Amino acid sequence: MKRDRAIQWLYEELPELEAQGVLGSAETRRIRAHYGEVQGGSRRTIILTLFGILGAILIGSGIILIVGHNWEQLGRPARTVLSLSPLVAAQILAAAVLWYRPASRPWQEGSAAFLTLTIAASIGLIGQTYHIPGDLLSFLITWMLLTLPIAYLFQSALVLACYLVQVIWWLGHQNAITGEELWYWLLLALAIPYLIVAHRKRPFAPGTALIGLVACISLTIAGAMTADRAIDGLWCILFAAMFAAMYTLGAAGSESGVGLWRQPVFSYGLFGTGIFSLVLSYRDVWDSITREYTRGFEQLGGYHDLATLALITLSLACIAASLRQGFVKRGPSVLLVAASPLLAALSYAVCTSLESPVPGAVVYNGYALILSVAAIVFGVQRDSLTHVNLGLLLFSALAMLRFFDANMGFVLRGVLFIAIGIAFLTANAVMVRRRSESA
Amino acid sequence: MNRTIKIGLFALLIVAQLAVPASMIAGRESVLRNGTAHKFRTMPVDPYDPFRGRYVALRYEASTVQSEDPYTRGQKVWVAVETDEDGYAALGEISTSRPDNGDYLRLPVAYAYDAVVSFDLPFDRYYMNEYSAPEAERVVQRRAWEEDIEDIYVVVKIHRGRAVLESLYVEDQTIEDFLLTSPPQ
Repeated sequence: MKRDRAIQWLYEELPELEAQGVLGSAETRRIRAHYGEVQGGSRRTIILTLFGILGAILIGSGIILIVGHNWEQLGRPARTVLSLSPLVAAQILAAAVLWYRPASRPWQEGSAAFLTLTIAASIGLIGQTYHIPGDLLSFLITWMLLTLPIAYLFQSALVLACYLVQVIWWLGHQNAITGEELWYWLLLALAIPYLIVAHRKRPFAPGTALIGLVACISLTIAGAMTADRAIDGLWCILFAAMFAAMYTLGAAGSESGVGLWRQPVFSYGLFGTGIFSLVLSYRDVWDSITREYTRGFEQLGGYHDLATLALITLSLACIAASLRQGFVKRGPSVLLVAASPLLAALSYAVCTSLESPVPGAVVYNGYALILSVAAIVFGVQRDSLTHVNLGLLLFSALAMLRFFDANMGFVLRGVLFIAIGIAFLTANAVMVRRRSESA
Repeated sequence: MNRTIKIGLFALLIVAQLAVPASMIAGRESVLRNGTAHKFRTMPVDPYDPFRGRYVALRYEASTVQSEDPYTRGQKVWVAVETDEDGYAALGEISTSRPDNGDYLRLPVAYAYDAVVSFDLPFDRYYMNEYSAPEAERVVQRRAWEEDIEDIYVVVKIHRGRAVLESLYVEDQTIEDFLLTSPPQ
């Protein structure tokens, strides 16, 4: 965003500079050609889009509230007509926007969001008119399958995010014994073409960032539900693989100068790996992995096991595919993170065969330590305060967790905290001074 | 993708979107028009469903059948609907194939225990606005405690295994009329 704004500023300055003879027209053209299109949308478009969406949501919610009030004074025919009117109105509006304003993001997003809400409102209103018994699951399926095409036709990030939320909501209500919830993965796959196009055309736009974040959260929840019914402990490999895959995919698609908020897949993978390695550094966690509560490795073969293994394989494939590109863009740290699932698998194998939680905990303590040191070193080398701070954060989190485990006197803990705090401040001060010196 | 193609696809989508509520309406209108009316005696309770507005949740006296046969939970069966000597509906014989005559419902088994098979009837809610619904509940609870209101029932139209709830009656008045004429409690 900062870079875009800087370029935008430069573009705005160019006519003036040309007029004053500072630059010739040939140079101006070359500058424009060099920097290309400014991405991400100007501020005004974002604000307009947001207000368009807000308006649509308010109208939709108002309609839904009216739904809640029930129009029992009216006969059934009148109620039927009134139930369908919002939907028809939304469809007419959406068709008009599609035809007359194909390039306007606020109109497209607003009308798409409105249409999505009126579908739900209409179904709800009809349900009330005919006293139809509630069935949340089939309502959600109907709604989500009617929503998805809207997202594609209008290229609306908000509607796609709505779709992802609907899918995870549906997943949450599933009875997790029958295996039906595994259809989630198919439903999610339906959104993948959109994600790919969005990444190619508008990689760092706010809409793309939103759906990236929602998709990552959705995947995490679904992964947890799938692995929960699989063989005990497989979740540790699954999550290590998923976070590492997000990190490497994000790294492959990243660009320096773009903030972490605009690259949610990368950031999610980064934080996920860090936090997960802290989780796996606990002895108790490995204890629960090695102890067989419900299903052991000999019972491999159910749908959930297959799904989990398929997901792990898919994640590893993603890592392999994007490793090179990620290495080019982000350096050796990518390799370090990509090692996480292999470490998890190794620790899992060793711990289950030895029936001891110790190897896993030791390995991950070491791994978390290495990650934090690598982040600090990387940050110092590339002059990135963010990396140094994140590395220090991970290091101190690790230290604090271990020291909470042990029984130490308050004085000693106090001293340690002070030491960590001083380390933070010193590191930041040194970095800032170095930066101002080299400037 | 140019505009014409998009509009074409959107037209298809519109048809699909309208088809869903239209089929809901058509199916139920058909039952209401062609079905036979049955009176099911009720015992209401009032919850709140924010997505769907206020409704009175209904439970029915006639929801079980005596049967020794082993049925499993969720199993879909055909249940005959008969009328008892007071004119109210009662559930009759269960069979695993569609009966040839009479009125019947297609229902999943709720639970089967001790030679009693229990069903959740699919007309379990009656929508009213948020002021009427709790009043309706109060009126009906009075029946349970004081027994001065005898007949609270719903009229359900049944047609070829499908049921649509038509109206909720209190002592032969619709609940709406009853609330208008009875003194507020």
